[in-house]
Amino acid sequence: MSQPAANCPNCGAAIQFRWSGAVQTTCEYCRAILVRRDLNLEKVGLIGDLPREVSPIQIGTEGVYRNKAFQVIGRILYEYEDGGWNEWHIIFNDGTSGWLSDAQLEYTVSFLAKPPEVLPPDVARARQFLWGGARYEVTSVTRAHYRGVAGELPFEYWDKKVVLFADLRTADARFGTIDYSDAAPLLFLGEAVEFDDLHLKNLRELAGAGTTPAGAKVSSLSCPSCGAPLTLSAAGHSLSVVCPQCHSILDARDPNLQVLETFEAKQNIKPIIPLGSRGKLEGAEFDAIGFQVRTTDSDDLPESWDEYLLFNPYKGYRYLTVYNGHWNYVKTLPAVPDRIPIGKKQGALFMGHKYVLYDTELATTTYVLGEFPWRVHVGEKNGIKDFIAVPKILSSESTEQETVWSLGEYMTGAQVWQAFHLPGSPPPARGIFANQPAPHAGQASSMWRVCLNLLSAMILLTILFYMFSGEETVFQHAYSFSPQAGTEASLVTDTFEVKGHPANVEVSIRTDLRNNWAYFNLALINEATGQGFDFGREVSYYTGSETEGSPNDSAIVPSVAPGRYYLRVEPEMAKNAQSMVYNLEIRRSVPSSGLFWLAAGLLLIPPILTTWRAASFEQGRWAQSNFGQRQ
Amino acid sequence: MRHPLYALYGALVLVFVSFAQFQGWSLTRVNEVKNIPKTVRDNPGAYRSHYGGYYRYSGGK
Repeated sequence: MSQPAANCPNCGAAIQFRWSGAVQTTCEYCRAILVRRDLNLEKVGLIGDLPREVSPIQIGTEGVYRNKAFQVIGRILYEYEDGGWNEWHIIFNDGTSGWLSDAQLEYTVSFLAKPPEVLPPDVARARQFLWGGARYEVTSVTRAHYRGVAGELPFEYWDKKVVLFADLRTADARFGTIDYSDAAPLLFLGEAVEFDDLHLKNLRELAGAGTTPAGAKVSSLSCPSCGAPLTLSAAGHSLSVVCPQCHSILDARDPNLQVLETFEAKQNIKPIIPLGSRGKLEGAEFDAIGFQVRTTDSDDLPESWDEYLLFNPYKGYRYLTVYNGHWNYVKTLPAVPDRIPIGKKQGALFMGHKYVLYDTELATTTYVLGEFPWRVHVGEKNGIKDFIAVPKILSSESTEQETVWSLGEYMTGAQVWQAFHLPGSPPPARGIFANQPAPHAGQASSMWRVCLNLLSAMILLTILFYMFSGEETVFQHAYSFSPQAGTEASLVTDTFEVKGHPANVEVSIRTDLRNNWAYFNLALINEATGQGFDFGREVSYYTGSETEGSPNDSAIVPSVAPGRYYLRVEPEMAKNAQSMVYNLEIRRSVPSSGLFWLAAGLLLIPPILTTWRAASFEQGRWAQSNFGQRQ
Repeated sequence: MRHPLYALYGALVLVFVSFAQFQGWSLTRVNEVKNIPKTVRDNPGAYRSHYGGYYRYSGGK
């Protein structure tokens, strides 16, 4: 890349161009704005006084975007009613150039693009364009004031006053701007980027979290209304600061801190995280600089939650919200998630993840403290929609002017306490929160997998026992019984040997009964010890239009020790019944399916309980949604 | 394994059921009687079973 040099026509200082394509530059010595005319530089104006520098980026900052190194060589500064932003002109090492926008520490990289269609002469918020398969939605239309320039720019830009911009966003954080500063509108397309992803070097040294010690007063002021001392931790970014003594809301950009409004508070609320505290979240330090209480507009049971505004001078703003001891770490999104149906429910799609609509409510700001990068106002109402995909919560907050999307992730009180090194222990969480992870989330399915393995092992064991149980017939004999004979019914069998280890013994009875019944009093008696197992069995079998019972039956005698045994049998039948023939078979070590069913039941108890607990938790979660039970 | 306690519990259940199966344990119980006289072999009618005197309700048939 060639780097042409020239001298300032105003002061004679050497002007070194970093980029050969630059059309305009500024003299670092005399602050002259210089425009290239053929081979000459022409002074067209002077840089005015610029506001306090609050951007961490400066001319000379280097970074990486999509694996391409870039350097910041120029800047255009704009201001509007609620703040200002910088358009940093960046050149890449391949000679191309683009724009790095820094608006309240939210960063985008964009490039001049050929419009896919003729751009409209004006646009309104919520208008949508379908470009390159992506739905771009106009999220804001800003009438900005040109405030100044510095460094090298690819065009002449020094005599502007009021400029109209329309910002567009997509569901996947793509970004666009329609720039109405020229006669023909220009389109810039790009994407939102994270500060860390740019790997920036040669940044401006700033005071605040990550740079100065916690509690160090960045800017000390006093309330013009009551004289109470005030601290501005994000001076240059903050638009409002609240006096904790008299509840005056002051204009933070006004050197005299003009009182904007004063709100009535029944009592002074002391934030549980003291303002000025510094905590480490996602590997970065943030100062708690603002606090607000928001209350749902419900006649029945209005509910309030607290929101803490966190600030890092490089990474921007984050939020911590807390309701009933449930915390969420929240970041606003540079995107407009797509609204989609999820089953019978409404949902939202963001970065490939589906979020189910959980709640809609109208919230009012009822208490404020600290400083804010917007015009904070007690009584301000926002329509809020919460979509959940545990442990995340996607929220949209709408006013008549704008809709802001944010993404939160559930945190426990203990995590917040640890992050901010707060003394004591956090208040316990009460109830179930919308995006609170279920204590047994994911456990049920993995437990069922373990259960399946155990049941498979049990089935294998069962098969092995049936194959190798050593089942053995130790006695078999046929008898007959005639109740009409009037003789002694009872009899004893021959003795038989039960060998081996203690095992069960099955006594099987097979009869020729038909439309009749018989009862067998049975006793398995050890010949040597006189120990007996006394039991009875009824056999009944009726057949005709329907069949009932069976002519056969069996009984298990458990844990029979080895030895010689005989069986005492005493059959009973109705006195007038026909005779019957019955066969007795005695087998030892017979596999018992009952034990395996018992084992299966015992194995199923833990996963069933876990599944039930998880289902109960989900039921509790959705019971608090104003969309009722999940369908 | 994500559920070591449950896996241990399951293994113990399987060991228990295997041991119970080997020992011939059963979920059904029979009445155990001690010191049955040897004369039962010669006079089976002298033994009074716990389940003797069976009365079968046949009403309605």
